[in-house]
Amino acid sequence: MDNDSLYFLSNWANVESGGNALLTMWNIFKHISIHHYLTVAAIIFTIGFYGVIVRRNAISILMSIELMLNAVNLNFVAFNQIWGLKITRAAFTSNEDVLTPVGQIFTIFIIIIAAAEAAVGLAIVIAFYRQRHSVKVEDADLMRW
Amino acid sequence: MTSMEFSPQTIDFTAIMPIIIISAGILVTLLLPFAAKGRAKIINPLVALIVLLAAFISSARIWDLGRASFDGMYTADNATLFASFIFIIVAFITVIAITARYCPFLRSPDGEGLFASPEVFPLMLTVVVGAIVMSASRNLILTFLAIETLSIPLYVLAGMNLSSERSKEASLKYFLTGAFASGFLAYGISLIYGAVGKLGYHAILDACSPTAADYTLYAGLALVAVGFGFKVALVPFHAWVPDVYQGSPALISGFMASLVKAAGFTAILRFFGEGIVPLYGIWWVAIAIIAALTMTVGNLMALNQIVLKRLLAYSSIAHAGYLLLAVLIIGKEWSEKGVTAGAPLGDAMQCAFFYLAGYVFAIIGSFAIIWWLTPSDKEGALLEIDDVRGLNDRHPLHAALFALFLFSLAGFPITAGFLGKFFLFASALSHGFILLVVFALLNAVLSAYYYLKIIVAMYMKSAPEHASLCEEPSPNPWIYAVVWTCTLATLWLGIIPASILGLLGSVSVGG
Amino acid sequence: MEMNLLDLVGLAIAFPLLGTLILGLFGRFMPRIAVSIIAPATVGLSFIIGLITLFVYRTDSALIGGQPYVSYLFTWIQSGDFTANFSLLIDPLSITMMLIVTGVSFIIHVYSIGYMAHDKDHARFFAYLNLFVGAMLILVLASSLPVMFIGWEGVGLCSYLLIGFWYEKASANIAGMKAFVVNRIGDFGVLIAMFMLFASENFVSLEFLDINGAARIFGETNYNSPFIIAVCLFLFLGATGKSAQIPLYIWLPDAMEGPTPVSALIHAATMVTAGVYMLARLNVLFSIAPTAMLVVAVIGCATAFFAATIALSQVDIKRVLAYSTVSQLGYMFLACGVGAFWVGIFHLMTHAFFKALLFLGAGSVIHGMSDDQDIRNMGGLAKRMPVTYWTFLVAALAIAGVPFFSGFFSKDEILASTFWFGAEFPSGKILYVIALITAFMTAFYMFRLVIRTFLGKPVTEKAKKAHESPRVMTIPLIILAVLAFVGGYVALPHVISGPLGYSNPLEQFLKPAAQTYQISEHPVGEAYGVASAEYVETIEGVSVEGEDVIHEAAGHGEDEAHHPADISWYLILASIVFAGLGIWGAYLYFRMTDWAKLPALSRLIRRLQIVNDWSLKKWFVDELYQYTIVEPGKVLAQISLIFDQVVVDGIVNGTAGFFAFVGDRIRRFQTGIVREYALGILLGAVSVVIIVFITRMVL
Repeated sequence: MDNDSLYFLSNWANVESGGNALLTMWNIFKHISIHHYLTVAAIIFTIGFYGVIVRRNAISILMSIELMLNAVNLNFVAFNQIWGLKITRAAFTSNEDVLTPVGQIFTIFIIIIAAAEAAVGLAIVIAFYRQRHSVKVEDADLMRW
Repeated sequence: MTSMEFSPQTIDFTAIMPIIIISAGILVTLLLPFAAKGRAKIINPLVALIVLLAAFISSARIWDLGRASFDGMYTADNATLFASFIFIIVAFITVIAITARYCPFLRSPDGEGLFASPEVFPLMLTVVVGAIVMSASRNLILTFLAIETLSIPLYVLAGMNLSSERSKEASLKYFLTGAFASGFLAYGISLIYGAVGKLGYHAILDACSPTAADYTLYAGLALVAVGFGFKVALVPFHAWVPDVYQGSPALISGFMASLVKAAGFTAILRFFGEGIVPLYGIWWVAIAIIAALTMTVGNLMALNQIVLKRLLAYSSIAHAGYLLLAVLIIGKEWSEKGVTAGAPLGDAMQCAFFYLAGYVFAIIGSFAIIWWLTPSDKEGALLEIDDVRGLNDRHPLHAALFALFLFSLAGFPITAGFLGKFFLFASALSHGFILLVVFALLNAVLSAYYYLKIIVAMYMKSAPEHASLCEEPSPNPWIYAVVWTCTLATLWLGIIPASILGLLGSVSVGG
Repeated sequence: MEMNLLDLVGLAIAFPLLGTLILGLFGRFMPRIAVSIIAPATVGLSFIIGLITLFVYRTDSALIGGQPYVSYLFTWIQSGDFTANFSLLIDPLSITMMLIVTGVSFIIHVYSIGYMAHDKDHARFFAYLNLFVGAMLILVLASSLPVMFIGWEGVGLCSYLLIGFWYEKASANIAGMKAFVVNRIGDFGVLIAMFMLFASENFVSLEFLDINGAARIFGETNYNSPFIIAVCLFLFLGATGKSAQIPLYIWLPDAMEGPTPVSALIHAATMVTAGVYMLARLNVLFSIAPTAMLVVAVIGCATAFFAATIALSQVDIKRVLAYSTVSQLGYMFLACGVGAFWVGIFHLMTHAFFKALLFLGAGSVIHGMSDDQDIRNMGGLAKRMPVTYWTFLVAALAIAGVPFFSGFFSKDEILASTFWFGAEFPSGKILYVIALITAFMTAFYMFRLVIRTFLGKPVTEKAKKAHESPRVMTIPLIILAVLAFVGGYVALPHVISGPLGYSNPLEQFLKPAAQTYQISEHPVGEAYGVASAEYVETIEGVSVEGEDVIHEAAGHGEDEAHHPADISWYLILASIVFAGLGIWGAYLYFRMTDWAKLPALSRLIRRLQIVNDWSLKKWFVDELYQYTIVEPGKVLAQISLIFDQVVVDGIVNGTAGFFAFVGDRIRRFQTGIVREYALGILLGAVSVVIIVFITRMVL
């Protein structure tokens, strides 16, 4: 989202809510579509893999990987807003907007896995540090070619 | 399919019994004999072996029954079960071989340095659970969980040689690249979810059509392919393989090269064959390019390699390339005929599994020989072709068995490798992949060169004069469990494949 | 399936393999004498079984007229509707091959006892040698292509193990590797052909009988179709690898690094003929692809010529014989290519005898010369090694094509077949001319070898001290010499045998299994100058069931009887003249040039020159000869050699070097830095997404 459209959005929301700051905020949030979430998720994902590729510190790389997984979480939660509704309607032909939380459940799984990975990853980094006294991935170069 | 309302009725306990048994075993091996000292140490591996045996039996009992659990999310059809047998056998023989190093009183005087910690057994069992679930899963959530269940213990297992810097390095590299790749896998799954709204394979199958221009879905499946490709080491997602296989203890390398690859391919065949097969026209080009790249790059990199474990690692990359042919065959066959539950798997799946079985036993056998040749105070990571020069004169049995495994990997007749290649390439050819088969055969010719280099060193060179690494192989008689099982399997599959093919013939698409 | 004595044939394979097992596992602990008994004994038993098989086969009333018998062992592969049995095919062709293989192997095993008497590793040697015999028997007895391929790879492996047997020699290792890699290229061809047949709907199984049977039906509608041509050419690629033909012959001369009995057995008598055998075995398949047959004939003829020119200038006794083997194999392919499959097998047989004899004789010489192989260092060995000399001479006469010796009959048949091929197919005459010139060169280089080695005076001290080999080596030589002499009488030319009222037993025997198959609409028979009406009649009267290959149309054999007798005599005369010219040329050349270099002789000749006017004239004649025939010949040989070493070797080594180089470059991507691996994954992921998108858009 570029600056112009943001300016337009806030200006328009400001007019509609009659100058009330809280209402203005609400109006802005109301008009944030799924695409905004996805864009943010994509940006976070990109920052994540960028970090993995440019950082030398193994801990930073680990954090970057967490960022990537969090982007995935954001994606799932956002998509769940569409599909949760549609599937339920199709299944029960009811008018109630009941969410089927497939995406959200996946998110929880990913959080758990991220935690497990972080735990194991830190342990590995520490073990590596004890032997090599370094957490730079460049120092893991005994084996190549 | 994606309904999250689990009622007890949807859980078929017989289907997931192997998983339950092994999971129980994980808990027991993790907690119960933790403080075991001296001779009581044997309890840990013993429990692991018993658990694996029980899992094997409970899998065999549901053969041909096609049991499914969790609304078909977990399907224990014959393909799953056949893969499970491979996983369990591989784990079983590996545990036996490791036991001697874990329990010093078992005629292994200097094995204390390796596998001193009892965690190795629960970790290996966890890998087996992950592998079985991976091959049974019909849902991307479950597949993702299974892949992580399989991977995380492996990161640790790779670093199991506590005294070795290379082992630590392998562990770190495997972990960082593995986690990175699972990020892509998860992102891909999220895109597929966004496009289709469901994650069950059959739901995806119903939802995707080749005519719709749904680029979210295509990006998603491409990224999922990347995630899978990392697990089975396809080029260009292979870079971790040589480093990790070289640094890890040889038996763990063998374990990874065999079990993980088998599990990965079972999952790939399932996902591509049962999930996104209507999109065959869209993904086949990418898969074909990756297949050609994988076999060529793997073989080319192996050509000048002198470190044995790295050489085997590169060769395992090449084998993944050949196996991708099976994915193409299945895609073509099923996109034409359509997948129907209960239908026979077709010869594509059959030859894929046959190839896998042959490859698995040859590669783990080779790594076991390397492990065997490595004295426990040395690192197998440094074993070079020059070190096995004249091996035939010193240890003819080692040399003969190693040669057998290498012949199988190279695809020589009367070994499993030959028939595996024969079936796979013939099937690919009859499905019209002429160019790829020619390419694969040329690669097979190329690969014979480096396998042979080792055999030449063993049989046709005199022993090096300086003290070499494998002057005195480690006195570990338990390794016989691995090498003889692999020898038997390699020859059995090569000479009387009819029995296994008969078994595979009954493998069908589960309902 | 009821038991038949013919099922014993499985034992013929089992014995040598058992020998390998015993010698391989316990050989190193056994006394030398035990190893020396076990190894030849197992092969001897196989030979006896071969004889029994021949006898039973000839007397079995159910198998009259060359009916094949399939001895089922077990089901090897069963996959869907595809079944491959591990079974053995017993028909005249396989019985002939089996007898040649086991017979020659037995003799060479016995010889090896003496030759390897001082080698510390003789148990390993015999284990490999036995394994080779087992694999070779699988190759020739297999009833289907995949089973044959087991033997095919097995003999390749043994060959390679035995070339590199003396692994202390670096050159032996390199030669072994080269043989193996080159052979893999050939195997690639066989595999492709096998897959093509497997994938084709017209060929139901890979059993030889089925392939030939299906080819017969398929040929009616798809005569000379691109598919069949491609299959045949891929098979032929395999044959060029195994049988050392252009362009894959390069490994054979280097293979001489192995022990001499190995060169005799594997690289002259048996393994290298596997390609010829395969062509004869799949005769019907090849017959329906005349284009492929023509390629076979041309390549065979070119190889025969080319290798003979190289042999002219070689100085290593074994390398001369190696190039000669390549050349003779070319003859066999020429025979197959012009449709005379049984003649190819006939020459294969006589060649097995005389070439094994030549190699064993060479081995005896090398033994006597204390491992010197350079013929420039020899001379005058005839007196010191009389048995070796006389037997070697018999073989040389046979290979040169001197009448009454075996090689004469088989080579004459090839030349005649080529001539009759050329009679109908005009440009085929070139083949005949080249083959005739090759016959001349063969006689020339072979007698150059004989004269250099055995005649004249010893050049070096070693040659003076040379001694005859022990009896365990000379007796095999004598037996082979007898065979090399009489081997040809099993198939006398019609023009000779006809008037004698004596039929051609080998042809009669082999014809059903290895003859040209005639398609009624496309009579290949026209190549033989006979009206094809007969074939049409016979063909149409025959049921073309898949399993009987036997009810063949009349082969060319009977037609040959129709060839005009006078032309046949001229042909025989031509080959005699060319062989004689070659021998005479060699004699003249070496008497006047080489001997002249010896101090004593040159003094004598100089004196003769002064004293006798005619001698001067003689010199003039010889110089003319020198500059018109020998020098161009030398130049040709030199060019061939350069071509061999620079172009062919260059291509092969260059390819190997290229892959090694590329492999090394690619390996540099493996930097060992994790972040770069991650970058690789990222780029890979992006590429995969892009490829998928592009595919979708193109769709």
